[in-house]
Amino acid sequence: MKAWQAVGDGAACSMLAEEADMLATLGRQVLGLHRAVIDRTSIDSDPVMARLYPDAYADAEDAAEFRRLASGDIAYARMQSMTRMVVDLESAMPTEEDDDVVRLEVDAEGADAWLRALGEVRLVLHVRTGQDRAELPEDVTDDDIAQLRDVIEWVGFVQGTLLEALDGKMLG
Amino acid sequence: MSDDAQRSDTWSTILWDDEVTLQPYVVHVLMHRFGLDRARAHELMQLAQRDGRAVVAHGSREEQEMHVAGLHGDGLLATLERAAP
Repeated sequence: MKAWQAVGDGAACSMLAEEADMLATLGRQVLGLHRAVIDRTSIDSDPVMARLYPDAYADAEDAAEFRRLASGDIAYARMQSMTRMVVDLESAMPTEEDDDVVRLEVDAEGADAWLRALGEVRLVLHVRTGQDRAELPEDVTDDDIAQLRDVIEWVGFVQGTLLEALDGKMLG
Repeated sequence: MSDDAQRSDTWSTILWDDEVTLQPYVVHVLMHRFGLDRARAHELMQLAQRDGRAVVAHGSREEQEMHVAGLHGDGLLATLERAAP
């Protein structure tokens, strides 16, 4: 993965096909979480859901009412951003087998969707790796956790350099 | 006079400190969502980090609910509460 560079009102970068594939897979998993909110099948006690859909009020009754009225719209908006990133990644995947680099380019609107989507992927992974081992599936090993930490760092690089590319343009 | 009439009708949107989200992203969100300049957005981000929370907007309850929903959609931790009279 190379850092994003400003292009037009957006930015462009290149990453390995396997990186793009991994990010698309993570994005699709997060899409499933938002879909569950819209379908009202999400598990509220899941710490990931508690972080993605936090209480809006200190008062439990007000928080529940806000969640009932607003979480569907919030989930829908998030699915749009995440879908944008997943589709950008999928449509950039190389068609030739020996081509292992993916080039991505986003306009200002796309960059905004990507920033939100990348932040969400990072949040979800962070909550999962920081979670009590007792709450994770039994087959999750220390190696798995270490790998996920590397992925969190990598997603942070993708999001951080995209912000730098956009900010540099606004300052210049 | 009822309790309601004595309470403030002004509500505040509170941004909470968040150890996961990248700081430049928080600044980006505050600039875009509230039309703040970079210096002010950075100041509010730092305030939230130092105090655990920062008031980023205030006004009607409906308005603050929209702000909180937007901030949640951006992945940030936010709540609304009645402003101190």
